[in-house]
Amino acid sequence: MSWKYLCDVSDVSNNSLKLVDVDGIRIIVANYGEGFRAMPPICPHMEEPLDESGVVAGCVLTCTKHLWAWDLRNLDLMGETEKELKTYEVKQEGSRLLAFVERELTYDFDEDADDDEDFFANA
Amino acid sequence: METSMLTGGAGQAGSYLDQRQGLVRDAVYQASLMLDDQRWNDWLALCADDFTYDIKSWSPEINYDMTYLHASRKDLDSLIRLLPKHNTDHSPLTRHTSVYTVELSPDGTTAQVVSSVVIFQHLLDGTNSHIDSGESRLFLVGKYYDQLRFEEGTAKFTARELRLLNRRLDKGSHWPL
Amino acid sequence: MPARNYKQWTANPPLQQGEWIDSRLYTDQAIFDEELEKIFKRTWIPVCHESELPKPYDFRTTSIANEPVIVCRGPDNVVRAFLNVCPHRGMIIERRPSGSFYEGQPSGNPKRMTCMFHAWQFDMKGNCVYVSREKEGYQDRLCKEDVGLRRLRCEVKFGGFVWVNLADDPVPLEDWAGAPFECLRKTLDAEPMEVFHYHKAIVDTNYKLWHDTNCEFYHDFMHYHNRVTGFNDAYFARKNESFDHGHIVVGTFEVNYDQYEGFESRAGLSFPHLPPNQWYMIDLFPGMNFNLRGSALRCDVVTPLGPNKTMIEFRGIGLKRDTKEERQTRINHHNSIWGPFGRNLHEDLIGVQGQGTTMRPGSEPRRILHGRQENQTIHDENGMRHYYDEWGRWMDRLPSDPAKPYIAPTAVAAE
Repeated sequence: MSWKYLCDVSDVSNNSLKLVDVDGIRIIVANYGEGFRAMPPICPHMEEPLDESGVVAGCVLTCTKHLWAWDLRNLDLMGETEKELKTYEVKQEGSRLLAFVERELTYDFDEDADDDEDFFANA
Repeated sequence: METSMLTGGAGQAGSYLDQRQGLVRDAVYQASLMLDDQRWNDWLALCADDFTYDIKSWSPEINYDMTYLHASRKDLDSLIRLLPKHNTDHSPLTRHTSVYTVELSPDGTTAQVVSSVVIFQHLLDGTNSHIDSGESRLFLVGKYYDQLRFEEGTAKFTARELRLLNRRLDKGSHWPL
Repeated sequence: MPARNYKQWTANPPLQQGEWIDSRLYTDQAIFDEELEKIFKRTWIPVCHESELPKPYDFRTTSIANEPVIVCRGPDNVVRAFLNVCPHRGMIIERRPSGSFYEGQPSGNPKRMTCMFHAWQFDMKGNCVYVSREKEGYQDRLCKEDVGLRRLRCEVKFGGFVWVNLADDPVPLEDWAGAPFECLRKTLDAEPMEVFHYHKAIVDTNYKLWHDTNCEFYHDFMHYHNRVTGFNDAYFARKNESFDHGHIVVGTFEVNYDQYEGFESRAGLSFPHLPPNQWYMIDLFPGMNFNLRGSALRCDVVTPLGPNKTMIEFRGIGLKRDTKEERQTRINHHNSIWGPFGRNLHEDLIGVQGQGTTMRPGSEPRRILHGRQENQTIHDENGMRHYYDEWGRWMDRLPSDPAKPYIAPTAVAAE
């Protein structure tokens, strides 16, 4: 019941990324030649939109802002990358690409929630 | 007027439309000449009774489409009549106006014109005339978005919007632009 | 007395201490530099209005005393101000006048300020959240916790204006300007406001000459409109009231617009808790003016650029909830008088620029008369006397002879 249609295989050409909306959940689809991946649309580093800054080449997804990269075959972290890439399980049925989407995958970004009302107390 | 004039042979229709285009261009350039010469009432005579005048500018500072001045024909009439009562920088302003596009309405009764305008100030008594008088400076840059109506063989302005690109206006001006 | 020879021209006028100043206050480069250090870096400047950065992650850039400043609204909706300077090698972080950090930049990510040069990033609280290749370059000697932005005192107050102070320990803003704003406090804080007009003038004059014009109404003789509509008993009954810290407030009077052809009375459209056709003017030291006239709220702020060069930013403000028609009415009223193509502003600027023509670096020092005494009513020049006394104390200079240290006027009268 939770296999959702992403797009047609022909919608994502080789070595490219496509942003799709699945019932309000935004997902990036990557075609790395040897297969497909479906992921949250932002880089786990600092929320960079991958549809703008992501590049797929040689089976590697690179976010061009700070050059974090993942081997899309085995999701190995490459270079300076410090966080895992979260992915949705994908399967292909004929010409259709599907992903197993129960709920939205999200990354945790520490937003400084400290109250700073007394910032100038030590001025 | 025969409708065949509008839909008739290419030669006839073309010259009719050309004539209307010509009237409109003439009106815009006449306006600029009169404003350059500070013949305010002659300029206003080119405008219909329901003429409205707006000077606008988009501000990226406040993210707002500003109206620097809005005036009806009556407001402009007062403005012009009161000019001698005001203290004014008399440095002449002249325009370089270039009509870019003229669009006639399908029924041929009105026209919309877009013209580029660059307004220069030729310093006279704004500051220190001994040093400054005689210098020419760029003052304002923008476009005129004009609407005209054909009446009795002439084209009259029904609306003018001067859309400025600058917001650095220094002393501004008392004069119609 | 008829025309005077040099000796007579340069003699002190027959007025009391405090009733005239030396024009070197307007022309001297050393005094100007000192004013930036001693005054502008220590007083509250209303750099913009909060409606210019309405949403979380919105920003507005400005400057105070040559230091670039950025004002940002955080995701917690709090407005904060920082020096717009990257702690790395001094790049100005954000070049645009306004915008949003919500989307990413060419060198940086969403929701952060990014210095385009080396991609260092800062959040809306000024924390440094990213130093590119931090460990590789700095090992454990310097980390992002060491290189946050310089945060500045910043308060949103008195009708939504954003006040910034370059000093960490200034007089609190409420103490600084609460008393002069009392006449308008209820009105300004009643409901959200919005800026509908912004333009700049850079004028060849000293910033104090512009502020002097804002502080006195004797110059209404310059304005046909003011002479025709204003010079009646009610007008002359208004007072210039002095407040601590050099500020003054001029009270209300019923402006008689019907006498002046050209536009209808402003009665009808006003601000909350303010009867139509009422008028207040607040002049804050060292150079800010808030002018509420019936339907139009005006604010102008000086940025001194040199002893003989001043930028003035002019703002017109209305209510956020104005209908299209109400807003157009406010715009028409505001701009017919105070707009760059309206009646009065042009004359005011010719006036101060003309003063700037005779008082420039190198001009001879002259006596500038601030001696009108009329029981502090509207053509009295007590506004200027009050201002320059404050100035003298901040600068430790005597306004009538700036080479000498400050002495309070009462002490002189006792001599």
